Amino acid sequence: MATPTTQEWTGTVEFLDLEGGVWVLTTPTGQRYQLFRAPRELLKEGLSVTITGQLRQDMLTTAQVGQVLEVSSFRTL
Amino acid sequence: MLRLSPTAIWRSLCLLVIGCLLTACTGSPQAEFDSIIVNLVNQADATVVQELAQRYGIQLRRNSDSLFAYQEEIYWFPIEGQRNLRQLLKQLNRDPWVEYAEPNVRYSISFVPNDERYPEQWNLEAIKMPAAWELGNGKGITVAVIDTGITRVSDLAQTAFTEGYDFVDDDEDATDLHGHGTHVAGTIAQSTNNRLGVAGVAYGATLMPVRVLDANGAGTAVDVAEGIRFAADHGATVINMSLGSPSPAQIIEEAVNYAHSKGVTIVAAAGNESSSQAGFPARYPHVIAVSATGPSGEKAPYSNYGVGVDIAAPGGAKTPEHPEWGILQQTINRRNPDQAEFAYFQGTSMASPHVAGVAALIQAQGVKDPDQVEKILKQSATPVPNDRLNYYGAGRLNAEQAVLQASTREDEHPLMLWLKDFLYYLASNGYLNPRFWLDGGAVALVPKLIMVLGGYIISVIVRWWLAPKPQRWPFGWGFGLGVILGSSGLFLLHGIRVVDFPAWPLRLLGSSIPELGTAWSPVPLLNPVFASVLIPGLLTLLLLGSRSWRGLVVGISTGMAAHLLLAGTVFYQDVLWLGSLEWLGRSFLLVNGLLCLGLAYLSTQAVSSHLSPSGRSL
Repeated sequence: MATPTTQEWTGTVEFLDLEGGVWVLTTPTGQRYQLFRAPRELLKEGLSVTITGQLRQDMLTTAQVGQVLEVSSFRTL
Repeated sequence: MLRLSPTAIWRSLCLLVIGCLLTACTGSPQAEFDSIIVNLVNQADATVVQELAQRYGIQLRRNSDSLFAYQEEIYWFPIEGQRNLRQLLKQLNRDPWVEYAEPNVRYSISFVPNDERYPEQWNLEAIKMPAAWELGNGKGITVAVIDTGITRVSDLAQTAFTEGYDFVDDDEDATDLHGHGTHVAGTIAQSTNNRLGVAGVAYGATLMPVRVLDANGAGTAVDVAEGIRFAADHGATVINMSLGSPSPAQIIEEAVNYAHSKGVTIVAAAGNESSSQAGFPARYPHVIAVSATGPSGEKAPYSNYGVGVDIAAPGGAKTPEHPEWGILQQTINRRNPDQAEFAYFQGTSMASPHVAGVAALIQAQGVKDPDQVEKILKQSATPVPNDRLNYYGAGRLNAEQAVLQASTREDEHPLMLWLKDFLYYLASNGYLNPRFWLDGGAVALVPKLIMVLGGYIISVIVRWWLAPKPQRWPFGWGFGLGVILGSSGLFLLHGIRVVDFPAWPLRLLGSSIPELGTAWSPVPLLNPVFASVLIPGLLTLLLLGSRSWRGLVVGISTGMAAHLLLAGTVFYQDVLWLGSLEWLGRSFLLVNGLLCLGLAYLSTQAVSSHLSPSGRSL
């Protein structure tokens, strides 16, 4: 298996009332990523951020709102 | 040939009668009562009541302390033993002190659980649980909840549990640290009729907690796969997976196949991306993928649909003003896992356990084979008409019908089963609906057949009277195909509806050339660019010289001549852009039909005259 590459994603942090609640990053194109291992400071509704991390295609979730994005670091815009 | 033994016929007849009786019974439940209401005349006082009680040997009691009961002098008495009720009612109704006496009919037609917040569970009413509970509650069936674990909250106290496993921490304690799994488990088997909280679909079933997702609600494919195998190996016959990912994982697919081969019915949530395909594992074969509906029965906005969706069930559709449009169960507080709370959740995760619960009810009726269980779930679902994007799969989950079908299915003759399946196929495709045949909602069959026939009649005319004689017919099979394409198209394809597949490709394939211009839409209009001599004209110019194609070209001209002439006369179809001017549309179609006919004639002449006198058929 290829090692997942670290990339950057820019968008808005949102809390969705699905499956008891889930934090996602919504990109300007409307693509949604479920945030995984997100630090508490990232979890603010409406926060514009660039997240560095990797996609975890091996993960399954309760929320099922899109691909799982494991957060390594982030910076607010 | 089908051979029916007399016993088979007899059994079928019996089943038919039983079926009718069942329908009659469920349609108008027998009135049940164990007491008689007596309304006395308003002047009646205590002495009158006493006198009446003695005269008829009954114990008259006041119904309530309400003002109404006092003013109207309403009493009741219990029925004891085998007394002649009819006679007693007659006597009472003749008594001058009695205004009327009547049986105190119970108005609970079906079992309604006494759980305090049951009235908030619109979802259970929507899938017709009260009637289904009359037939069973899933006792004896083990349902594995592969999720974030299950915490035994107070409203799971009377629910049966079996040993589970925690694949996240690799121990036997599958306690929930998130809240999702406990909520899902509640929908399946919340302790019911315990005067507390809410109800669950298959509250008699045994829950097996299998924890594969952590406190964040996320987990790995390996753990999910292990969870599936664990459940299949430890006696679960239903698996609910309210989890998923947009990406497939072979390890999970193999585990699913293993569980299916061991007789496990597997149900999964379609996913919440509002996307036109179910996620994984829902999309795998042998997994029943569930989309979510709101209180109106419409697909919830977040729910996936389309590819892979097998059935729809309530998953909730909350709005800020209406949180109660979610699904209510007891679970743990997300911030404080030691604290239980009743919470409205929404998601396809909430829809899936409804189906898993009904699967347990079906199994409790004796139907164990997962393919049979799936078939019953789908056949008993309430179909949603015009579901072109496959929002609902086979339809909306209907627990009452599912359990009824399961309870009558076991002892049926295989032939009856086959017949039922076939009738179901016909019904679900609209063939049993008279309007299908009369309005031609899907296929205007008769006009279509006449158009093919017309095409052939015209071809015979061209062939025998117009083509130079003696001459062998110079076209091969291409001609026949051309006639069909030009006149009717492969119209039977119109009648086929492939689940998971949009309708337009088949409609396109099923359209004749004149109809092609509007095949993208279900509206039966003719596009004048296509329904004219233009296409056969161009095709003739381009292809008449080609040996292999000319039969097709002449066939198309002939078939289109038939279609346009018939469309202009007997089976008028509105022409796009000319819709309001019927005479113009008709003239347009007739003129072009005649032009096509002329084209077919000229092409035949041209081809024939170029052939050698021996006139080889191509």
